[in-house]
Amino acid sequence: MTDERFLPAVYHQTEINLGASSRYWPTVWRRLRHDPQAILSLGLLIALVAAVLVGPWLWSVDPSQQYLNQISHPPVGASEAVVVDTFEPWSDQVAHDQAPNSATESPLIVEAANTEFVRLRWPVLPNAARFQIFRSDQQTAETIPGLPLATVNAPVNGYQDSLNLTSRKYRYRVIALDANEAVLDRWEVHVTPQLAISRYAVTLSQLPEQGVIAIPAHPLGTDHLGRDMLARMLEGGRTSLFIGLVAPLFYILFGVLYGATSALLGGRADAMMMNVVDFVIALPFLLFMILFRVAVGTEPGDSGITAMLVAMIALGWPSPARLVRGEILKLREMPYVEAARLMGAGRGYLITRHLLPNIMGSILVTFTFAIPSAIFAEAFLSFIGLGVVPPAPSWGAMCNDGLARLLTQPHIMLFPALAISLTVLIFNLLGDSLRDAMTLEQKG
Amino acid sequence: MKRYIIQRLLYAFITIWFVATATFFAMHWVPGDPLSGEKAVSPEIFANLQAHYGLDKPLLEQYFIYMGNLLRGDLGVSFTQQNRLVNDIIGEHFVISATMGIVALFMAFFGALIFATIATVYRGRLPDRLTMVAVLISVSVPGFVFAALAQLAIVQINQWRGEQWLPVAGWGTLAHVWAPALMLGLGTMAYLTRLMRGSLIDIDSQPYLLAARARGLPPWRCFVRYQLRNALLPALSVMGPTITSITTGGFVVEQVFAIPGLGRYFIQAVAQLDYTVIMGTTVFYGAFLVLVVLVFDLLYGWADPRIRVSRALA
Amino acid sequence: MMSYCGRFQSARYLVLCLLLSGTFQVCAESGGVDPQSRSIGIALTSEPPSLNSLTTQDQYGSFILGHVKEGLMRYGKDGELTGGVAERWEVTATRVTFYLRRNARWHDGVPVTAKDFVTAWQAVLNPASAAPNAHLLYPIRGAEAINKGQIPAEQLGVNAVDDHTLVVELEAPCAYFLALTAYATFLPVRADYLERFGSRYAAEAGFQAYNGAFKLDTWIHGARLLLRKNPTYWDQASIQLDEIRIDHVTSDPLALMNLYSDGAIAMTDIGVDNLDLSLRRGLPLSQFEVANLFYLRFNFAEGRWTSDPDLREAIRLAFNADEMVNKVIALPGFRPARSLFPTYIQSQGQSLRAHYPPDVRPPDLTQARQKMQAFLQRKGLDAPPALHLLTSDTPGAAKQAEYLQSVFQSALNLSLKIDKQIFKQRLAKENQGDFDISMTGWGPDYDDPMTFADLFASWNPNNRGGYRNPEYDRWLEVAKTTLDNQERLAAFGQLQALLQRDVALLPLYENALIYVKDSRLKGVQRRRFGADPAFHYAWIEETP
Repeated sequence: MTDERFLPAVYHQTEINLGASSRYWPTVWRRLRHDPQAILSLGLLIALVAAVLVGPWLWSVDPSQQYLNQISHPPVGASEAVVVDTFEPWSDQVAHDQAPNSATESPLIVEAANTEFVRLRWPVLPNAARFQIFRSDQQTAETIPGLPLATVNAPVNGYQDSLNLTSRKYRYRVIALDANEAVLDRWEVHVTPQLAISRYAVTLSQLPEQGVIAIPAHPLGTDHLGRDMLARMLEGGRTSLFIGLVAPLFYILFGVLYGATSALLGGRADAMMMNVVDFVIALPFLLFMILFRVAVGTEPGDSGITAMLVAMIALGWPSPARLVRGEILKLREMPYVEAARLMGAGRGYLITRHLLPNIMGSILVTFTFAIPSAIFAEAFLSFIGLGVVPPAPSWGAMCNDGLARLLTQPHIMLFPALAISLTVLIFNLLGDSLRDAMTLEQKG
Repeated sequence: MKRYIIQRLLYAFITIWFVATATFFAMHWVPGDPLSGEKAVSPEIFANLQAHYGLDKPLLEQYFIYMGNLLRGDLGVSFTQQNRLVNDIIGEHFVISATMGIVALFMAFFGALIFATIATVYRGRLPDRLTMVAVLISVSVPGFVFAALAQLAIVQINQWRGEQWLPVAGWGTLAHVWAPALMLGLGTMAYLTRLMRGSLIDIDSQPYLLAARARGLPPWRCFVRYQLRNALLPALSVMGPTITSITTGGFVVEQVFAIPGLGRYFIQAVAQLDYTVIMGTTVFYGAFLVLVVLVFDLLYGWADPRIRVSRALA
Repeated sequence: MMSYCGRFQSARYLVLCLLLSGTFQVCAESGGVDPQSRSIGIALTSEPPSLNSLTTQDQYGSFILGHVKEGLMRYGKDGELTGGVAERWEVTATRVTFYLRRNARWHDGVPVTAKDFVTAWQAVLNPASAAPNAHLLYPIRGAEAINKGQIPAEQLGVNAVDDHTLVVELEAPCAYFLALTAYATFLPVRADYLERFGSRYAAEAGFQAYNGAFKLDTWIHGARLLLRKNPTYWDQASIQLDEIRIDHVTSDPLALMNLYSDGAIAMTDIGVDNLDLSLRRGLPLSQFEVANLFYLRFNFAEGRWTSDPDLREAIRLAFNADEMVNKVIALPGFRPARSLFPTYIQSQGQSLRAHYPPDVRPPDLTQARQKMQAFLQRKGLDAPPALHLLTSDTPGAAKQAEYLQSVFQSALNLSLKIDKQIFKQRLAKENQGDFDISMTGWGPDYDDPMTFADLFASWNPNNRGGYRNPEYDRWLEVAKTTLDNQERLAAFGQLQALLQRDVALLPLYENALIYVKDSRLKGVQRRRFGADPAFHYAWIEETP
């Protein structure tokens, strides 16, 4: 066994914390530069921020435009939609004069098939009392007839389906029943509706009055209102990162000021101020975050970000305050600070020259680890319906929207969940590296 | 020691008072009325309702009445769960949250112990790396994503096996506890794994361990006797906050797994502005937190000789 | 070192004991459908806030109460209004006489008497009980005055002539009084239970008496309710289920569907987000057109932009109900709403829609923009003002609000500021009139157009938009007091036309339910009034 710990001792050069040494920050930076984890996470962080800031210019699809003919669509390329008449009730009781072309063809006739409406016509059956219409697609289990669209009473012999059609292969089934619920006949037909847009929607969006409208690609698919996921991810990223950065920034800033004041005042004032910190820490965190979020509330048209920030800041500041107070009390006892004071250094000098630079490290690390918590807090509030107010997107809110459709339209939740996880991961890794780089007692 | 405990208890009492006061005013700051309903009632009936629940009194008077009742341990009657005592509501539903929390804590603790041990034994090799990646993933993915995935997985497994392996949701039997408890404890497990791995590795280079090895103690006995025992100490030191975060953090899991715990009740109560339930829950949890932290501080002080000594000297 | 170790172990032992001494409520969960014990398991989406028939006003309470108690009238096998505790009845203009069944009994064997109804109705009207639905009793002579504390409760125009005869005097003729007596507020109450339990009456399973097809056996709040067949029920021979177990209380649609897929519950509703998943899993879907009305409420208060008829007309013309129903709601069975009165509504068995069809006008963006222009010019505005759209915090409501916002932005350059609020805050804002437009809905209390019509009466506290029209009130009074059904239908037709002329509301849609049900469970009724779903006449078939 050759364990290095059992070898004769060699002289290790150790660095001594010299306080606000001019070599401190360059050393930290040098270490970070040589840490692949730090470089990787910093690179990813820069890429992420750049994507969120510059992305909306590069990807110019409007995040609030609703493509109602492509609802909850998985990633899809650019396409064209034909313009069709606006949905209107269809005269569904017409004599069936069109005989099927051959014996193999279904007696169920498709008279129109686009994503605005599919029109079905079936033969007149003398004994039929009712017809049940079902629709299924390739995902539907074989054991059931499909989605029950409607039941119509004879003599109606047609049906117009407009229910959330997208451009994929459907199978329609019509079951004819007599007055005693006995099945007289079943027909089925396969239809792939053409991507279409109604005249109402064309006029509504003031699109050019032409026969075909270009629909942009959706590289990440669309959400439950047919909005482009990529555009919403970029927009939502701004919200999530904004909350993730601003909330910790403010509460740490306040905590630092509070803790530093407390430490510098000392005595009874310090004791009193620390009592307040203890009280606030004793508040059950999640319960009060909900309570404060609701108490601050939102105004009409408000995104709800302010209320979340207030709740997080009101509850977040005590830990950094405690940390900073502890650090300062420790530093005050340091020989070099003592020496500086004996040499006649003023309070301002001590704070700016010795105390502040020395606590910067732990503040920075705290800040880095606070960001993931803030991003999670946003996601949590969104999950219980107290997050951002629509139409403002955020990753947390988008995750929550997609949660219920996880198995059938995974893209709606997957992408925002990935974004949250990746961001949190980046900050966790970065925090680790920073902490390692700043802990100078470790072996160089 | 006795004086210390009394001092801490007094302090806990003031803290609970603070929690109650903060809740009371935060809650009354929320616009709205617990007695209004989807169907409007005539002003006369509404006035009757307000008088019935004492909401017609000035806010400060309501505050003192509430505090008086609180001192007697009476948390009042729920506004929306008509005729139900808040003491009963908390009694019934906290038991559920706590049961899930304790199981979660055990899973987290022993899971972490196992993973940290594996990671230390195979330090730097594949099992260690995998554990650390798993730890990173568990702390980076939002809890509700895991919870929803777990539930869907149970449905798939049940269908695939053709029998009920685990119930999908709900509460009532032991089998209902495992999945939600695991999801609840996952974050803590990751955190503890990391912490324990760190201390196990630290201890690895301690002289007494080297001495033990040098004495020729078998490696596994070294591990159990010196490393493991000391690795548990830092874990114990974070147990107080961990217990509180697990017992109050059940909102998401309770929602996804349809568990009638106190967290779910609290969210409902906030939406319904059920003043007494909101107050009761926060005060109860506040008291619980303070006491748990107190107990673990004492326990830790008792368990760690260094602290015992330093306190004795102080 | 040893002592430390020992202490640590004892601490661990303590926690372990705590765990094992555990707190599990042991219950045998026997799944959704169990033919042996003739029992079914279902889930509720919320714990019933109250099972006190005097004050309850929500669907969960009325679901349970509809199974465990029975009023004078009830809804029968085909959803028709039929006799419950009342065996027969005589109706004259201002007097209704009910003859009670001699074999109607409470679960402890005590006969249900006319006095139990008098007790209940007087208690509802007692100002001290502050019953939110007390106004439903106002057709009874003296009821309103009692409720306002002007006269003592004994002067209520209800008289128990003997144990089995109940005479009700009405203030004025009331065509829908029989339908009213099927509602939960009119259920009988035992005076001895009311006295014994006081303010805790009906708070637990044993704290009230039951005279329905089932009785509440166990109630573990938030977790579990157990209904058992009531052997003393007068028609117990028709009841074929022995047990209804409610083992799950959750509003999460995915959890509900998972519970169904897993065989833990016998039926559940399916939300739009889970439609595809349920099709993929091969769940047999059914639909039921509840046809509750969902609409936009406008604020008519002085100074609100929405009090301007041109603006409301512009909004109406730009809106495409078909698109909303098909693309945004995207569930089969929903219909675009055309009027305050849902499609199915009938007065004394005659369809209102067949006699007085509403005026259906397709969306017209050009006209809508002209109306908007007219509005802007008259008000001297350059651009449309931003309006506040008040909505609840359910995911469905948020989605609809976003759709409306997008439509009116594009159509009229009108920006809607979404004001999403939690339940009580939304109510507070509605009651204070702090909104321009609010998304709201209404389900019927009883089987009559009146339950919708009086929503826009100037005196109704539910008229939170403050629509005031003397002509409307006048026609409403006609519909309220006439006993001639043709005149009544015509009055409702007038009311419908007035609302359309004034654009007093923007009807959005009539809802429906998509649900799955175990194929072995037969005879479950879906209802628009009373308990829904109703398991009174359900049975289990061993072979599906």
